[in-house]
Amino acid sequence: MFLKKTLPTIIAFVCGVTVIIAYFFNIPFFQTTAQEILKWQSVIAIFALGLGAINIIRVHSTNIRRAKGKNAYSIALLITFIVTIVVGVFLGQESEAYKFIFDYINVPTGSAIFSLLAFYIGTAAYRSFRAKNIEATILLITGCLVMLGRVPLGAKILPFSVPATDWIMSVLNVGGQRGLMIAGAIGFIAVSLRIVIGLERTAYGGD
Amino acid sequence: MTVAVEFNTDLKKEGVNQLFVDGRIFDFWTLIFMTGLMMIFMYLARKGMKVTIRPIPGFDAIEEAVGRAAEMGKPVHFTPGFGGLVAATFAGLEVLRHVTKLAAQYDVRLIVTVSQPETYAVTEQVMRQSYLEAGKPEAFRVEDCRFISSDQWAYASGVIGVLLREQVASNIMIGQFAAESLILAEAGNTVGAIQIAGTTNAYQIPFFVVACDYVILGEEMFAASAHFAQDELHLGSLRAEDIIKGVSIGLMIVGALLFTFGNEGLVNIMIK
Amino acid sequence: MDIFDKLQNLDKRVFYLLMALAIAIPTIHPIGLPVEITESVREVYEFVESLPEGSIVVIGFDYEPGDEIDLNPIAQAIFHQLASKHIRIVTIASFPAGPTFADECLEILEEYGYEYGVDYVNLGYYAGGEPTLAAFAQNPATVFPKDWHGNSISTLPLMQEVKSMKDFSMAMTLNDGPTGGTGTHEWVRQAVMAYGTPLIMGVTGVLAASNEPYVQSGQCKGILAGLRAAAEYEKLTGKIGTGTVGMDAQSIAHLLIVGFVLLGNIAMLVSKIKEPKDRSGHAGGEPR
Repeated sequence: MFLKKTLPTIIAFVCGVTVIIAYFFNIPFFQTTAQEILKWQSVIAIFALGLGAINIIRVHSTNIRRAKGKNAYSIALLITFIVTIVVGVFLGQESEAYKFIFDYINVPTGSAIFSLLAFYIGTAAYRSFRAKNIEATILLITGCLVMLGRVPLGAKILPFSVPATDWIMSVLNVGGQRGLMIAGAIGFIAVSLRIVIGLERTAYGGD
Repeated sequence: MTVAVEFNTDLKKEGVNQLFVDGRIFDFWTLIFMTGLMMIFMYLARKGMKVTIRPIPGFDAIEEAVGRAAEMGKPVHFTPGFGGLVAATFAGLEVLRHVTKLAAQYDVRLIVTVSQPETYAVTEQVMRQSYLEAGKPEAFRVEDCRFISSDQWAYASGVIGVLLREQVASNIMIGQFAAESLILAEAGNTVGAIQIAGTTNAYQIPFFVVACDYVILGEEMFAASAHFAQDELHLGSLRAEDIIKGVSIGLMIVGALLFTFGNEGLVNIMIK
Repeated sequence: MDIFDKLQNLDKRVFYLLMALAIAIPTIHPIGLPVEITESVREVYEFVESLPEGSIVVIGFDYEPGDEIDLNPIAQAIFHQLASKHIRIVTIASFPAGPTFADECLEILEEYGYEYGVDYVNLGYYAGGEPTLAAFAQNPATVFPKDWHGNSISTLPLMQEVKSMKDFSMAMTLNDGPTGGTGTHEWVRQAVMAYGTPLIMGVTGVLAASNEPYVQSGQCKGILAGLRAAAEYEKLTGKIGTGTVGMDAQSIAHLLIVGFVLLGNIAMLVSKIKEPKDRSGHAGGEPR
């Protein structure tokens, strides 16, 4: 119990208080210690990456075994995983092979997934922007106005949409977002304080 | 996870504020005020002060979502988002505890996908412990807590794959999300899943609102531990947060009025 | 199910096909729609115009693959203006893909006779987020002993003039928000508040509202948000690029979405009018 719950709480408290003091005060000991803590945080994150890699291998090996080798996606993932690691470790990140993998596989596939947003935004808007009640009608009108006001063709069709869009985005939208951001920040601070003082034990598996 | 601090290990500043880092005096006293208020209200809640919280439809719908999955014989999917170990992710993990216990209770398969490796380690621990507390430690399967990728789009495509292949009945997304939020929500919609989502990123909330059945708006997520545990300490902390919000609103109104009439006193105090 | 019910529940694949055509056709055959310049973009342009000729700026390529669609055109448009004033450029990146995007955008400087190492440098990727940015701001050589191409910093004449963030006449961050690297908040703290270096932001369209407070408070000199801002900037500089071409496709795509939304609402309205109400007063089912 001490190792699983109490010790992590003590470590969280000490590290949290040290970083907080270093943030506010010019005390050399705390400044130096906080910098060390941040460096250790990066080191721990890198080790955690190893855990994640093990999980990937375990999950997809199980998939392949259960599907008796017919799971093409898991096979493809493991092959690319191993090839990329071998190329990166033995040939280096500056090598042509690594740059090829990055420029011609990683970047285009990332862009392809991102581009799905264009299609999904349309279907989400088509499904949701229905004038079923007052709030939905307001959403419909503002959504259409902003979509028209943000493009030249829309501005030609409905010139009013441009100043309306500017007003909606810089007044209504910013005001709403600021409220959410401020309340969210207060919540962030509260949760962080609870973690530091040991009240929030979710990360240790609960009470 | 990056921590937003700059540490000055080369102290050559002269002047009155040598103890305090420049520009952080007001922040410090604000933090002291917030901490003090939280402590007071947690103490009062422990002493019997009644704190009620309003129902949050998104949290109330979680049991409905897990029950639906049980009826349909399909799994539940949960993801705490793209962020690392930040407060929003902790809020998501608090919800995960509750979802895991429900999944154990209803005998429903729960698949959790994770984006950051440090979050994966914590998530697995939360799931194990929750199944244990529910009396079904054998129900935890290592392959149902999956680290996908710390690359945003690889994570999105991995989650889409899970949703489509496993044909989930319920999709719960609570944590920190970025541009992949709509992609995940639409993929969940494609398989007909009931969707509950929550994030503190103000500019992703609209995407969840149009694509999901229930949305937990911003700081409502941080009420998760109070909502599910109904614990006095968490309720007291929540009451303190509400008071802090009230004070913030008051400061905004006073500050706006003062600034409008040309008085920058409050602004000057706040930037010290 | 009559036509109006079908219109409320159109197959998604119809929409996907039309959207693909709406984006592909104007991209292949640009229409050349006129773009109006907004005040926020003009502010940035005028600020950059006011920078001294020959000064040095730093640009952070703080985004991942997928965001280059919005942010590369902004970078290229800014580079054209900087190059026209022979302002020298240093680029850094807090995401692994950043230096590659920086190299792509920096290619346009060749038409202005820029020489690598003298007029521009791509320092490359730095890990560690804000603490590393803070270290860079204090002394770039501690973070980048070598540049992205492996050249030692001491061999690059441009970098001999840069000892801290103070030596830059402007900083710019191109980012997509808090997704792991450094974004606007970090640059405001480390460039503006710590060293007083003016900062402009290039962000994806969706982040315009959340970053606007920095402009309104005066902490940032301006913001360029999304492909539209890139198109407007291209019009100001007179160098038409992917921003303007992209606006044609975006125009058609937006009109398509608005059209579908209106179609769905008209169909819903007509269905409500036509269908007899049941005992509870509920007219028609909800589309999903």
